[in-house]
Amino acid sequence: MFNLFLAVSPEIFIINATSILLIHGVVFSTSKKYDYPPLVSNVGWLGLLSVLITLLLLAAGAPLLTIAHLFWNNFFRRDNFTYFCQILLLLSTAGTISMCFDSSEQERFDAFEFIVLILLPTRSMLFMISAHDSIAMYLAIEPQSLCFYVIAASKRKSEFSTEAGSKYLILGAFPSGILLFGCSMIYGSTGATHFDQLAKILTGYEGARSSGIFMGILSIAVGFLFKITAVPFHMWAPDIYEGSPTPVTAFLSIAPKISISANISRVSIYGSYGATLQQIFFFCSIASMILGALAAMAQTKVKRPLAHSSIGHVGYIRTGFSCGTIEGIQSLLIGIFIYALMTIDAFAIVSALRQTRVKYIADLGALAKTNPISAITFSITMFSYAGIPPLAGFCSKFYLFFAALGCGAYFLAPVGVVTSVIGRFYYIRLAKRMFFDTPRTWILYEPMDRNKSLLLAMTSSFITSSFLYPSPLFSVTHQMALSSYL
Amino acid sequence: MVLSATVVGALLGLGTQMYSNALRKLPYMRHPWEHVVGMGLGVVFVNQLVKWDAKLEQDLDKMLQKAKEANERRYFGTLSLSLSDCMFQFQQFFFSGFALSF
Repeated sequence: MFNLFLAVSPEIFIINATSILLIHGVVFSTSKKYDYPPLVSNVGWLGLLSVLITLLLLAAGAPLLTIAHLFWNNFFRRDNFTYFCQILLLLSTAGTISMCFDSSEQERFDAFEFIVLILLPTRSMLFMISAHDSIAMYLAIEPQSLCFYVIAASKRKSEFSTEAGSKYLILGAFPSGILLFGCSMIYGSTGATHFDQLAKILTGYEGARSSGIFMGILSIAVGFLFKITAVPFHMWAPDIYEGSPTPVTAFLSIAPKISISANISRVSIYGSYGATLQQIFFFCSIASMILGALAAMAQTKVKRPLAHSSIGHVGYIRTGFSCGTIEGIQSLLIGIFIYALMTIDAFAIVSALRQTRVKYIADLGALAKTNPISAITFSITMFSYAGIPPLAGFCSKFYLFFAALGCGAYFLAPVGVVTSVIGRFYYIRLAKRMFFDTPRTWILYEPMDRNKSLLLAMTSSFITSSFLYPSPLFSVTHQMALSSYL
Repeated sequence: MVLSATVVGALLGLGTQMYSNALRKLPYMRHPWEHVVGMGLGVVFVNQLVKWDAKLEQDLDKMLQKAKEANERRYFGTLSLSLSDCMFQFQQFFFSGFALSF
C-alpha cells in the first residue's frame, strides 16, 4: 500500500533540516557570547548528516516502489527510476560536502551559508527528478538554478567568483525563460501539461505539423541542453567552472546533470519523443563530443580541461539518451553513475592540490616525486575519463556506444570512439606532466585531510575494481530503465 | 559464496583504509583500529551487495516476464482469437455439410 508520507519524507526532512541549519547558523554566527564563530565546519557536518539521514529515509521508502505511484494531483511520480536517480544525487551531494571542510579552512572561506546553499538545490533536484508535469518541473528547476547562481559567487573576496556568479545569473535566466516559453507553447497547442497526457497527444507526432508544438519541443530541448552544458549552449561552462570555488565546481558538474537528465528522460522519451527531438539530441551529442575533445587541448589551467571534459562527457551521456530505447536509458544511467564518481574523484584531488597553490597544469610537475600516491590516483581518474580499459570509464563508454549501435545510430558511435581517442591527448598530458616533467617552481605539497582521502580511496577503488563485478550496476539500471516505461 | 564475499569485502575495506593513509602520506597501518572498522564495513557491504544482486536478478526476470506476457496478449491474443473463430466456422460448415449429405 502506498504511503504518501513515507514517499515524500526525504524531501520533507531535507527542507526542515535546511531551515533549521540556516537558523542555527544565523543565531550562533552573530552571537557575541560565542565570539562570532565561523561555523562552516559545524554546519558542514550537520549538513552531511542531514543528507545521510535523507538517504536512509529514501531507502526506507524503497519497498513501496515496485510499481509507479503518482501523487499530489499527479504532479509527481515515484518509481524505481526516481529512486535510483535520487540516491545518486544524494551520494554526490554528500561527496561534495565532504570536500568542503578542509578547503574552506585553507582558503579562509567562512560563510556557513555555503552549505545551506548546497542543501537547498538538492531539495529542488529531488523534486525535479520525480516531477511528472511541466509546471512541477519548472517549479523545481527555478529554485535549483537560483541557488546555483548564488553559490557560484559565494567566495565574495574573489573577483573570479563574483564574475562567475554574475555570468551564470545572466546566462542562466535566458534558458529558464526559453524553457517556460516551450512549456507554455505546448500547453497552448495541446491543453496539457501532464506528461501522461502529452504522451497520448504526441504519440505518432511527426515533424512540424503544428508549429506551436514544434516550437514548444524545440524550446524545452534548448532550455534543458543549456542547463547541462551541451554544445552549442556550453559557452558559459568553462568560465563559471573555473571561477567558482572548487567544491562548487564539483557540485555544478555533477548534480544538475543527474537531475536534468532524469527529468529530460521523462519529458522527452515518455512525453514527447519523435524524430524532431531525436535529431536535435543527436546533433548536440556529436557536437559536444567533438568540442569536448578538441577545446581542452589548448587549456593551461587545471580546472578548465575538466570543464571541457565535462562538456564532452555530456555528449557521451546524451548518446544513450538520444537512442530512445531501453538500452539507451540503461546506458544513460550507467554513464551518469560512473561519471559522477569519476568527477567527485577528480575534483577532490584538484581541491587538495589547490590548497598548495596548484592552479596551472605546469604546476603539477614532479607531483609523482613529492606525492606519488596522489599522482597515481589522479592518473587513474584521467585514464578512466579517457575510457581506457579496464577502468570504469571504459565500461560506461562501451555500453553507451553499444546502445547507439543497437538503435541504428551508426554515425554516432564511431564519432564517439574517435573523439575518445583524440581526447586522450589532454588526459595523458596531465599524467605526463606529473610523472615526467620538472616544475617551474617546486611546490611543497601539504597532506590532505581525512575526509578527502577517504572519499578518494572509495571512489578510486570503485573505478579500478568495478569491472570485476559489474552485474549489480547493470541489473539495477536495467530495472530502472524498464520501470520508466512499464 | 559467502566466504569469498567476506574475504573480498575484508580485503576491499583494508585496502581502502590503507590507500587513504597512503594519500595522506602516513604509514599504511597508522591507527590499526580504523583498518578493522574498514574491514568490517567492507564485509557487510560486499555481502549485502551480493544478496541485493541476486534479488535484483529475480525482480528483473519477473518484470521481463510480465512485459513479455503483456506484449503477447496485445499482439498474439487477436491472432489466436481469429484462429479459433475460423476453426469454429469450419466445424459448423463441415458438420452442416455432413448432415445435409445424409
